[in-house]
Amino acid sequence: MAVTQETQVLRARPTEQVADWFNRFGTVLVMVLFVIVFGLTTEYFLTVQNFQNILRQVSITSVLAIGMTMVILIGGIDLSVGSVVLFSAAAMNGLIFNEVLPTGLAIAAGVGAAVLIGLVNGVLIEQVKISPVIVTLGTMVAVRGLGQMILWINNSWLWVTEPIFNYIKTKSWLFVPVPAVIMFFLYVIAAIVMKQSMLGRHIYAIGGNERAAKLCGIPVIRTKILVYMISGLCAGIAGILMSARLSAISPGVGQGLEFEAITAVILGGTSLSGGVGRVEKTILGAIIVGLVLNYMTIKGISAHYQRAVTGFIILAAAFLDHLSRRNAT
Amino acid sequence: MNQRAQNRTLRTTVGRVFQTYGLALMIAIMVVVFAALNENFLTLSNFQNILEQNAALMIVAVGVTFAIISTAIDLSPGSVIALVGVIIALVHRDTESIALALVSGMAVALLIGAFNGVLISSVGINPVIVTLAAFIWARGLALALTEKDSIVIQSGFIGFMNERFLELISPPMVLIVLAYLFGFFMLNKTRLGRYTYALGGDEAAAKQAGVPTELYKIGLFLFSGIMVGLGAIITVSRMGAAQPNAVFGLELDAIAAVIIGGNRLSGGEGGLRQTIFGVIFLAILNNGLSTLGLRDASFYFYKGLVILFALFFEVTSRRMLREARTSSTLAQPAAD
Amino acid sequence: MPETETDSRPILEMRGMTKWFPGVLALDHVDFSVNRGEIHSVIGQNGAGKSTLMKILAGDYTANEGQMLIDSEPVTFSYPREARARGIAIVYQELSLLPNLTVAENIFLGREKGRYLVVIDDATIQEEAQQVLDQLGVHGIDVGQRVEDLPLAQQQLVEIAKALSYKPQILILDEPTAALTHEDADRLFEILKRLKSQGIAIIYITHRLKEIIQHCDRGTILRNGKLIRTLDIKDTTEEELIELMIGQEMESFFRHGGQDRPGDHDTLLEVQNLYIGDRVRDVSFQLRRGEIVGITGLLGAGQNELARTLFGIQRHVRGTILRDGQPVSIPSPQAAIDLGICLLTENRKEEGLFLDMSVKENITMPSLPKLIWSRALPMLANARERQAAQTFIDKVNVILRSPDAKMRTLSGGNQQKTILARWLLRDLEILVFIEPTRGIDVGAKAEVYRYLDSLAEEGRGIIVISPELTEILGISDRILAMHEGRLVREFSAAEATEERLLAAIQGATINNKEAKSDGSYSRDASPARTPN
Repeated sequence: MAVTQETQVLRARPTEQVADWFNRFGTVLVMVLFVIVFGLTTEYFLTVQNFQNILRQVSITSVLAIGMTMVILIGGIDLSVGSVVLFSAAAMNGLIFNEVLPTGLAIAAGVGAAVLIGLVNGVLIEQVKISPVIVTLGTMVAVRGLGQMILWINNSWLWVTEPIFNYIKTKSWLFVPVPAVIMFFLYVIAAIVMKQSMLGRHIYAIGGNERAAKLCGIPVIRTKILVYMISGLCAGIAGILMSARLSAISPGVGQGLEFEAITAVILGGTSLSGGVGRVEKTILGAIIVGLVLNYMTIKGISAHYQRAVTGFIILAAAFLDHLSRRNAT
Repeated sequence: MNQRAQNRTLRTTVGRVFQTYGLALMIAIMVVVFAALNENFLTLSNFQNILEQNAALMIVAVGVTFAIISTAIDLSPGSVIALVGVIIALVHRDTESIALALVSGMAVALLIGAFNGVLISSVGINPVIVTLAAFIWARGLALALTEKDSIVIQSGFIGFMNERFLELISPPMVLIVLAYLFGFFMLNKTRLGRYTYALGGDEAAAKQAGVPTELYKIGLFLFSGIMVGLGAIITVSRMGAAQPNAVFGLELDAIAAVIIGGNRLSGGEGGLRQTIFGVIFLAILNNGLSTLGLRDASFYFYKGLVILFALFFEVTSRRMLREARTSSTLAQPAAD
Repeated sequence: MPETETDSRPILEMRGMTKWFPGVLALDHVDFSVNRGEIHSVIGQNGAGKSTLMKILAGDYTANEGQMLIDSEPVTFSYPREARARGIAIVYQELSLLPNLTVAENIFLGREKGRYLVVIDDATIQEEAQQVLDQLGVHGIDVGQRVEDLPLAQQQLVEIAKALSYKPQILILDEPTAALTHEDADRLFEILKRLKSQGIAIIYITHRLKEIIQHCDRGTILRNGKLIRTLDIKDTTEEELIELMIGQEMESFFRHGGQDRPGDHDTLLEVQNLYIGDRVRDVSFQLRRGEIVGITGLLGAGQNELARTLFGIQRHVRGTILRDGQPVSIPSPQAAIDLGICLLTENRKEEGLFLDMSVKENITMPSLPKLIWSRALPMLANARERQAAQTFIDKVNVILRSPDAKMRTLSGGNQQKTILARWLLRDLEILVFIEPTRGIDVGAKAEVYRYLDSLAEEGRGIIVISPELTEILGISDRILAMHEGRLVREFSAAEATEERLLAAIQGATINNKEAKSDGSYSRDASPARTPN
């Protein structure tokens, strides 16, 4: 009878190809562009020390963004991470300071507590089935309170005294500051997990089409809870980095970090509706924000305008992402 | 009727009771607890405080209600209030005209509402992203314009707003009432309200029926902008100054209030009646905890716990109702 | 009403309607006309062209060739609203009501009357909504009630009321009774007769031949996009309609080999006294090793619910399932897969495809545990995964640039093949496929059937569920016909014919005479009582 469509040669339309290319390399391109432009317009920018600063600055947010990427990939969100950073840092340092546990165990306990919060989030969201926005909003407030209670017991703030934290704060390996080394290490692990493991594949499947994932035999609820626990884990590790950065943990620590993490994820091209995005690009997103903020600091722009600019960057990124998505289909 | 059907009717009844009276009950319990713990709680002056302290929250919640019913979300009100407050203070400082300052503030609030609305509606960016961005940049601008300092506003207007006429009523209370009346009117009697529900019910079907969905999405964010503007005016009046860090976290309180009150986060359901209960709940919670002398740490902790509990309660009771309803319309295919 | 000349001319005339889609001629010069005040049914199997014809009429599609006349005036529509303006209203099967709004609000959505510029005049809207319902002759629906609180039958009436509020001359109803009970359907027809008497022309699409015989005035039969005949319903019978729908040329492009797969192979799966809500009543059957069992029925007859039960995604199930003779429970897809059962669903978009993932990833999804290096190193072995995917891409003949192409870029037919490949790769003992060749072109279908045949040979048990009778007849060793939730007849491959099958799923049986070799049968076959 008629021509069958199966015999048509499949060739992508030009706009589709451009959009696809942009999707894949756009973020790197933007980053390189910024480096070039910034480098050309300031003296201090292109120095080893400056880059070390940038890396140190972005390390905490980047680590949080790993977990946040995964949570967003499965179609959820975690607004509690900033508070969890405070809580785990407070717990760790509280245990150390009051000599309840040796350093190693105290740190483990702090991270463990963070994972536990992730579990609570996951169970409330997936088994009790309350919206992630609501649950993590609630835990954000409650956990901040918990963290602040720990500090309050210890006279409002905790000194960070352990040598390990100082080591992380000041040392570099091969010119790369230790926090950044930890950050890169975690990203490599995350990227491998997302690309090569069943868990990673399952995460993309659940985010892409949760119903279909279930029908493929994927343990959807279990996996989603695990992802929230991973987000908690990242927050716990970020708590370690935070302890390393500050000399004392005060009640305001970690506030707003969740939004910085979300910014990095969005900039990295991950869609808020889930299923699309890459962990590797999230770190690029975090670095881009770091570059821009650093540049503005060098230029003497007030930290507050920097804040405002961050907001606009998000909009720009979302806009571009939206455009490229529209052309790709 | 077999056992399963009996269980079903039990769940329906329980669900319905919880839904209608649950929140009222929780509010009552809270009032009792706070009154018992603090003798100053059940006084007229404290009730006046509750209203005045939470006036901005209550008014902003009206706009947030619209957003949530339409399945969008608005994370920007707190930051925009701060920014608008700063604008009001700056304009007043430079022109000595409070009227001009207030108008400018309102204009900025409307502008931002329109800006967000267009990005969400015509450009099509996710409302979470758009309002999150505004949350960040508006606060940033507020801080930048003031270098983190407060700007004091010297005007008779401030005094007026803080006055309690006949020992009883202050302008913020009146504004609350007006805002809700206006909100009721818009939501129930106009196209804006009707189409807000339509957006929440099934946007595609609404569009097919000829509803200009894009236009009305922008419209509801504009409306929200009005509420935010009012909130800003009240906030600067209370403090007598524009504080760039003011009302940090207000939007989250507003969202919590709207949901606890009974509006569904996924949209299409609810109304201002629910929101009123929700904001009363939150206002009493805020006030109760602070009159107990709780600050910062414990304040947040207990507040978070109570909010989580209330949300859990609300969601579960609604689910009980819904399950009961769907299993009784057997005409529907019973697929998972 | 006085008889004038205009009354005798058709309100609608479509001449030579032709519509192409890529790879398919959906309508081939079809003539169609409808008179005022008649209920005219468009009859045909899936893919005959009924929906396409109606969508052209309603302005959703434009015809490639042909002419359309309304009241003797030529018209063309580029948008549905143009058709609406010209007096054509269509009610699709998928309801387009907003569940959280009231009846009145839904009917006038987008057309609200206002006062003082901004205020909605709810009183008038409710009044007018009530008027429309009165015109329909519907009682007992409160216009202030929310649509989602109404039972489905009443929601449908509201949908019709909405269409009616546009004051149409022509009302098109697409499968309105598919999900309704008999009583609701009868009530619906009372209402339609009322509208008829008001001069409205009603075009009615349904698979239920009984309804057509009972209620319609004229019928137009389509087959494979061509007009077969237009006739007066009072002059015909259900059997003749069946005959016309199917036609003399029985396109059996895959005649089942007819080799007897002996019946005393092990029973892989047995279902006993299955009840599913009120969709399925007391169904029992067996699946043996090496056989392909086909299950068919009208929409809503329960066959899909059966399939979903076997995969653990169906609620309100009562009854027993035996796997290899042992009673089992299947609470989830994971459990089903562990029992060696897989399901291919009928809606790949909602339940099958991962549009943003690659074809390779789509195919290997359920098989990942078998594609890792080892338990000690649970990472995916890329080369192995690629190869596994490629093997089945070739077997099912998916046409694509590379296995890394995104699923979104594939055509519908290729997407369907990918889902097939997914479960073929998983290689379970029992395959339950719902409409496995949906969207796949004729030539490729035959390949798929051949492959299923070979799988059965290898000892698997396959259940195929499809509304396409030729497909079911072509591949099944045994056929189960369902009607309104019951298993009404079981046919062996030898005794099954399209007419018998079609009659069975309609609830009738063709008894007495054998089917003649040319596919027709003698007139004294009668609709038997429906087994209740």
